[in-house]
Amino acid sequence: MTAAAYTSNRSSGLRDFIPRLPAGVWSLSGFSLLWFGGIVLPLLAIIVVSFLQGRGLKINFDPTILQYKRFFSYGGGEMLARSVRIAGTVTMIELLLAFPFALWLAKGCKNNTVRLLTFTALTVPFFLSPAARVIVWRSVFGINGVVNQILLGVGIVDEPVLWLIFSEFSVHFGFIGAFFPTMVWPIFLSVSLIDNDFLEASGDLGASRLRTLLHIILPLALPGIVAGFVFTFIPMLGDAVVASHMGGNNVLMLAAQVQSLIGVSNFLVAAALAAVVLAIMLAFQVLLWLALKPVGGLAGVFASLRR
Amino acid sequence: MPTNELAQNASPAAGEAPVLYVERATHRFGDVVALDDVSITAQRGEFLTLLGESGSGKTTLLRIIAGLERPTRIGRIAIDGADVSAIPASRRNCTTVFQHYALFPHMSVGQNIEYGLRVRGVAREKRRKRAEGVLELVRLPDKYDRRVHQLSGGERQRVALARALVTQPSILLLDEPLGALDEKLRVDMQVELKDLHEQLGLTFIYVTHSQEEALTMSDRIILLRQGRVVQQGPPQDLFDRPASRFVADFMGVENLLEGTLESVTGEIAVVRLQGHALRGIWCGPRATEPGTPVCVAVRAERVRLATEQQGFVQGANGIPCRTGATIYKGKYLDQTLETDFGPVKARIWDRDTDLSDLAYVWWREGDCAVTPLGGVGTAGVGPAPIG
Amino acid sequence: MDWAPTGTGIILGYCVLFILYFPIVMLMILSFSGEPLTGIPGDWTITWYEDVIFADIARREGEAYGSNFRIGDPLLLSIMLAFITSAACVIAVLIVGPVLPRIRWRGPFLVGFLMPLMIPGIVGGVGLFMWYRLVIHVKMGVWSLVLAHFVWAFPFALLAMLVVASRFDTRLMEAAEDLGAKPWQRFWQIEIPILKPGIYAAGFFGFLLSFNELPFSIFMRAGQDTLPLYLWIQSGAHNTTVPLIYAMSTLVTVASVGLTFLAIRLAFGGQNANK
Repeated sequence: MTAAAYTSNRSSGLRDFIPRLPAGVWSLSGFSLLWFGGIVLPLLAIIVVSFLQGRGLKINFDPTILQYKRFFSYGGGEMLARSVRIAGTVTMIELLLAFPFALWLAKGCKNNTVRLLTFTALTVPFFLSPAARVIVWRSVFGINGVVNQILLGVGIVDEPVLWLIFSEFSVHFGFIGAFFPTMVWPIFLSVSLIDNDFLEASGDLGASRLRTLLHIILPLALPGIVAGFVFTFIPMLGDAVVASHMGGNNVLMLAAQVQSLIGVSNFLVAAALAAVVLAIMLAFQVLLWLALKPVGGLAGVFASLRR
Repeated sequence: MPTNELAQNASPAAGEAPVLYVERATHRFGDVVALDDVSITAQRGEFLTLLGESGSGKTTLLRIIAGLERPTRIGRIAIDGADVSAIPASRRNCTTVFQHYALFPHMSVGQNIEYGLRVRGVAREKRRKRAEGVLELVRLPDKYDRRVHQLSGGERQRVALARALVTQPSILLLDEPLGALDEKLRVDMQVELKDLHEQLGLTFIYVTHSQEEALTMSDRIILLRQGRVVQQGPPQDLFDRPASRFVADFMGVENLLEGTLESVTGEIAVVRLQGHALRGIWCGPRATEPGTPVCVAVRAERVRLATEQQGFVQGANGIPCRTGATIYKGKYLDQTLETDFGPVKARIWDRDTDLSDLAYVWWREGDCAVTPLGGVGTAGVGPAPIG
Repeated sequence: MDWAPTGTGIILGYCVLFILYFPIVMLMILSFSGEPLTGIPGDWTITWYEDVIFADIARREGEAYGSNFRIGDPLLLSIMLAFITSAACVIAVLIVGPVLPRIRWRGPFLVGFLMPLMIPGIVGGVGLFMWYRLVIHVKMGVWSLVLAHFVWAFPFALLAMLVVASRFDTRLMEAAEDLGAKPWQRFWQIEIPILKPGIYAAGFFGFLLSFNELPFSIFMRAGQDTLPLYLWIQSGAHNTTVPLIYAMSTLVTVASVGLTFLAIRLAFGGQNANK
């Protein structure tokens, strides 16, 4: 009673019209305004820009699908299909490699030193210069590289093996190493969160290890698997370094195409390309959402993890 | 006394072979010995309670029976007459109700209950029928489609019970199943569990740290301490005939008076305590030398008050006293009485009792247990200094 | 019960880690070799490191030098950007992190803040470039690089902060208020110390993610190169400068690993202090 009276005495005039919100809410609102206005809106605006006409830096606000026609006539469709295919294939390979490894790290590995070293090994690559991670492969797999020298020296082949570098093989190979940690981490975290009681209860009720894996671990680790998929597939799709260093001009992927379009000031076609990628990402997320719907959506899965 | 001899003495139904044998189980976690050469048996249809404080090894023993823990050393574990020492939990004919229920969060109530049947390849309709039957049994008939996080604590407890029962195990293992419930619900569930046990005729092995739960529900109690069995028998035995000071203390005996043994004749022991000779039922081993430090254990509710010496019954222990502090406990009063050998607690139910000219406390020799200080099977517990 | 998968899974995992680390270790070894481009170590020398350092010094003093590898400006720019991004991330997560878990409509906010994670960097970069350069006609500069790096690093920093902030017990703030603490005192004396691991993580993510950022920078620069950009362009262009890139990359890698170790120790040190 006293407190209420005190407050109403103090607030007068203009103060009555401003909602009394904590300072945190005000600063969050301010930041959100800047973020959505400066980042989210511009990114979504690509879709609008891609339907415009223009030359160089000048654009007319006159709707057209010309940019899309040009993009696909330049072989953009093929390039996109290749990018999605390669990134998709490697992501699936990463999933198969990372899941048992993450499961072991989370539930099997008891040696603390091994765990700590492995965690460090999985963390460091996030902070390494992208070029530094792949540049050496050219010296190793090149025509005069170590592998070919050895193969020739031993006499397994008569002339240098060419597909070791600047080929789809080398691009896949380069990606596998570079994007392993992004798949392991989320799966590891979600498997760690699974209570051992659930695994024991499953076994106690008569389930074999395979059954427990399928019925208990896999559904409960689903958020991690999805997160791993997103964090691996998306950056890989737009990767600028592995494709150009390991694929050269033979394996043109998304990043190189965007750059060459911007390089020749073909901005609006680049916008069309970007819009197509955004559409693919959107479709990808809708698919994920649909896939998770039976288990109550991603939010439902997360909610069910809390006890 | 060797443990297996105790086990045979305590078996209630002698005609039938026990449904469970655990022989010489030892388990270590690193350097810590959780279970030290323990052997137990359980009769078919028995409600057996493993009682003990945390770290006593009771949960470890339960997990060894379930197959969730592989014991460091084991003689034999047999369920239904078949040796299961080398068989994993998934193929043992016993199921566990976990302490925190371990209900799968991504499955509905029905799916949780049916899980054990699903992994055994039981057809969908049959599964559903049995799940609904067992839900009826635990009094949750309309919760089949609920999700786990929509249930209350008591409901989760029942679902966990239903999930363990649906596979029709030989033995149901319960790991402190009522620990997470509030007081009122716990008392209700005790009765319900007991009813369920009688209805099903199944063997229950129940782990708890609460002597009250153990006394209410069990046919037989095994009291563990530091990885060893200290006493086992029907609830009345543990309650009235504690085999050591530890058991008496654990079973909630308020007055533990330490003295020296003077003689044992038949059932009755005479204890010398600060010039007084107290008589009580001897609960220790047969051949105990006079002069051994022992403990006289009397429950507060068995302690009577008198104003003069004529107030005692024939053959009772009577000691002069002064009135001490009174604590109000709602239903009764806790009255402390100062005697020659320290305070004695008495429970007064009649609030109008006049304490002003109180001169003696007394109790019947049959209401009083005399136990050794160390006791059977307790390792590393020397006699406490006598005050 | 033992949930370890079969040995093959573990061995394969370590094989992939080997594939990941082999080129990095090889790079370091080759950077001390006479003929690094052959991929065969040997003929040990530190000449590439001398070139990395002295080529730039020579240029600054107006002297001719054998190599035209100029690392100074990109390095300085990258370090500056990393510090700015780091500071921006810390401030931003302090604004967003503590409030977001407590508001009702956090879903749309979260989707918006984490959007850069859902878009390939190169597309995000070209999108921002298009908007600022084409639509509202602003010239690119250092500001746009800062913006690009912030957009890239902020979602990671925010995730790290949310892990800490969502476990924050708001009753602590009520207790502080009850004891008479003013809003700013509650912020500095209660909130900041408890959120410290999240703040460190945000700063760390901001610094290292900015320092090695490439896809956004490609389009958001104007004239100046950041270090990863410079190394990437040089490594694609002239074979004569590649050995220098080996040396420079080795230096950057060692610095990154050192910082990561420091951060892990900091994180573990914080945990021990809590116990």
